[in-house]
Amino acid sequence: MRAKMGNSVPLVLSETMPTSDAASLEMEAAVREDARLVYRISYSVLGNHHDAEDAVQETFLRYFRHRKDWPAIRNRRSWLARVAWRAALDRRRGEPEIPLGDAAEGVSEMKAAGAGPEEIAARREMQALLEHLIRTLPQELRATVLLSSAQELSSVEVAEILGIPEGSVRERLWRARKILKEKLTRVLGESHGR
Amino acid sequence: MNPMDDRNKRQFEDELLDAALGKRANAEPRAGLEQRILAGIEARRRAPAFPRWVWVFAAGAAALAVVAIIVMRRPVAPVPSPPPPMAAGRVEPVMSPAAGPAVRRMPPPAANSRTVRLAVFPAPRPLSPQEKLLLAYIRNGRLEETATRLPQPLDEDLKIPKLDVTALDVKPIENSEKSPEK
Repeated sequence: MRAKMGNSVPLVLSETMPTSDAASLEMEAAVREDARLVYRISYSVLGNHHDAEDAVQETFLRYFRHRKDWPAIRNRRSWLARVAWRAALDRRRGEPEIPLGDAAEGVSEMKAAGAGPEEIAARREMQALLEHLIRTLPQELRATVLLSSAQELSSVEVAEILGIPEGSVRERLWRARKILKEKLTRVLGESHGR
Repeated sequence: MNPMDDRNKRQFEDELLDAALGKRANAEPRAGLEQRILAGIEARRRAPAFPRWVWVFAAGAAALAVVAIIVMRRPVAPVPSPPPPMAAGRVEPVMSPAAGPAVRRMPPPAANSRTVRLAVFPAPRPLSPQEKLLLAYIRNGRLEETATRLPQPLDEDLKIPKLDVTALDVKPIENSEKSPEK
């Protein structure tokens, strides 16, 4: 529940940032209810825990700095998701730790050894391979896949973050998945043929 | 390839893609994420807008500026210069071979503080006879009349010291038969 801001007694937490008890309560509520969502969005973009947590910190700090705008924010969850998405994109850098060839070879070896999909998916090589494949997607498909992969978000929320109709989200997701599957088949086939 | 194998392979890759995307979506943060977020925000909130060293630096710069203004505005009084360090205790510099030619340092001109600064430059001095003549000419406009007024060097009494010339003693010329030329 959103804390009421109007007639609370001001509490000076620092010389430059006066705030109130209500603001502190609202921050606690936002973190408690939406930290997991923000984290998953950040992780879907960045692919590692350390950078994802930094992006989460930055997202909530931005939320706190915009506390004057809180009464105007209709949907806190969407606001945080959008800011987390941008913060994570700003932090995205470099290639995955494992090169594409090594990742594909590792997955092929596990598959040849009889490992199941769930077992392979849990390995670092498969996550690195998926990261490489997602990066090759066109930008609009990549954004849709990354946001949709954060299970906390519905297609309506993804559409709101990206500023597109909900139907476009589903269509882009279908196209992205098709491309990803084709590329995965080709990469594993090439790796198996070596 | 056997159609059954191909179908199995495609199904396996479908499941692998689903599982990998699902695994990515289910990333769980480390325990205590909420506490770390709130603590981080609280720390940022309590941090001053400027670090302490900025204030120290600003205060130091302001103090220096005040001192500089005071020094620049103070009137300059002539200070008697100390006697030049001479003679007895003077130590000659020892020159090393690699030191190169010795450079004679002149005392800085500011050291001679006994010099009285004049209000007018160049310093006023009495007029020469030529300057007086020129000034008089300018005033009355007649050159000859002006010139007669001026003291002439020839009018002054010449004081010539008395000459003392000794008489020459000229000896008569002897016979020239003994001349070595003949």
